[in-house]
Amino acid sequence: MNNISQVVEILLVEDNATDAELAMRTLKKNNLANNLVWVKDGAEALDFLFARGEYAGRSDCAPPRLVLLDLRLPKVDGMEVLRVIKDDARTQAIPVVVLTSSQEDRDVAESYKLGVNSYISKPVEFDAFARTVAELGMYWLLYNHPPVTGK
Amino acid sequence: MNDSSAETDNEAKLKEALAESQQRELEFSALLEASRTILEHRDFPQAARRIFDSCKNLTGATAGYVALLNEEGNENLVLFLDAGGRTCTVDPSLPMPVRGLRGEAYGEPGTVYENSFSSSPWIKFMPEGHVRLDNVLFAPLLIGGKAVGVMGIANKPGGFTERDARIATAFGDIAALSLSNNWTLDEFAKSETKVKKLNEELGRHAADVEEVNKELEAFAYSVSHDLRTPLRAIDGFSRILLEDYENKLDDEGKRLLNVVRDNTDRMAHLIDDILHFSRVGRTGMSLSEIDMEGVARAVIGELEPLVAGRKLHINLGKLPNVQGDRAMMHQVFENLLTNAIKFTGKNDEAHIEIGGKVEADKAVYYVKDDGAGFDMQYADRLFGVFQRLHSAEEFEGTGIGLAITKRIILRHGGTIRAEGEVGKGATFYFSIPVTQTEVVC
Repeated sequence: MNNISQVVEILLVEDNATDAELAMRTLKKNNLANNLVWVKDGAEALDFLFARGEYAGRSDCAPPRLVLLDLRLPKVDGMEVLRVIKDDARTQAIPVVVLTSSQEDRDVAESYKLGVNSYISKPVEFDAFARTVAELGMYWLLYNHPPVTGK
Repeated sequence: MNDSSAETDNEAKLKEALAESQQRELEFSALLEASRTILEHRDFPQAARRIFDSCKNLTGATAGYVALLNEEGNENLVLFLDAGGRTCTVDPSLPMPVRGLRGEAYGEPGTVYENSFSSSPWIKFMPEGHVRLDNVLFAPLLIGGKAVGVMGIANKPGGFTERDARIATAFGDIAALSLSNNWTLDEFAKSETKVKKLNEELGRHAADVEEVNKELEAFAYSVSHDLRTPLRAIDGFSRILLEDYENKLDDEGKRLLNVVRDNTDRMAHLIDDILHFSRVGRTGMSLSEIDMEGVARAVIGELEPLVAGRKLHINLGKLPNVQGDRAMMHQVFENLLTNAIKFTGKNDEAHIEIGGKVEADKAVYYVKDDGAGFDMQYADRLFGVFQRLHSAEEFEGTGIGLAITKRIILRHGGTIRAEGEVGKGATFYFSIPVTQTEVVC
């Protein structure tokens, strides 16, 4: 993947290509996608965040300002990625927004238990989906004060 | 001279009375001891042996046996045999048919005895090698007036008396009591085993149901996630097409794409409804006493925005309380009232009435409207899943509301039905038992 050493604002973790395309299109339309990295599975997401594997060159880079995390992912499941992020002192402060098709109570409960910052169900209807993605992008990148990073 | 003979007379009478009294004492003690025997010996043959021995000793007999009647009632099954010192070569395990004097004891039924056995008609029934009988007495064992066995005593020096018959009858009764007790205990043990087995079966069924529920939950979860994603893609990319190629599409092109989007919308609602319906059947119920009038009033308040600007009169009568799941009842009123509001949408002025009363052990409620109504011919399709009696153009909806309502009512052990007339309106009646027993549905 590219963006080895660039500033990354949004890490989009999404295995479904159409959902990814719709989300990125919306963020782009709202000028929020200038520094966006898209990974397709949980393992790659963790490699990126912890500067491992193909992302080893990122060890000196600041963490992303927002992680958009789908729950159903290949290799490492979304819930597991969430758990690792919130467990590790290096990544614990990164805002993570779960963006998923699931509305099941147990997924919501489990996510909050692990320390998710926000849980969003992807609307099926595109207009609503676009609006949701745009609003949450703006909220977390523009309104929300990012955590102060040690670096 | 008279005095002394009267004195010896009295003395004799006194001695006789004393002897009689002592004899009675012996009899009572023996009978009481036999009673205790029943409690101490649950094994009937053991108890019977002791009772028999006691009876034999008390009467002065020297031989005898106890036998039970077989199921068909025509044969004796010998429990034990006491030949009293005389030889007996007859095999006691052979079938002993009911006949002779014994047959008389069964037939009455009552105690019988014969003191001149060898010259009696009964002698001819004696098999080869049988103990030589001088006299014999039979006391049947009676349970509920029916003979179930017999105790026979024999060879008393001097012959049996009426008194002996009375004593043997009493002992026979006690033996019968012991037997009856045993049978009761056996039945009880059998019932206990049966109950235990049924409980185990029930436990297995419950586990099966739990398993199926888990599978359904996993299924619903998969449906919700896996079906929604492609739908989002269809809707989203149609939209992108409309946006990015706006100037390349004519009105017809745009219309076609919007048809695609409308249908994905409809499908999304259908998926939501299916999941909702499946969840209604599976979630646990939390029972409490429900103020139904309060629930109805709350729902009316929530549906206010739907009726803004319309001439709609809602009349809420006094509703009886009922025991049930409050959230589910809320859904019922929500469904029925939403329908009433929807189907009166074309009225200039609409009227909706809600009422209820208690009938015997049930609370009966109704929601009545004067809207579009329906053809009674198709009344049984009303509550079917996704069944509709009106087209989507006339009135929107997926047709799941009433199916969900019916599910909820059924889970409460109640019934629901509807009456309607095209153009006049519809009334939905549902009844629920006032209190809930543990119903799992």
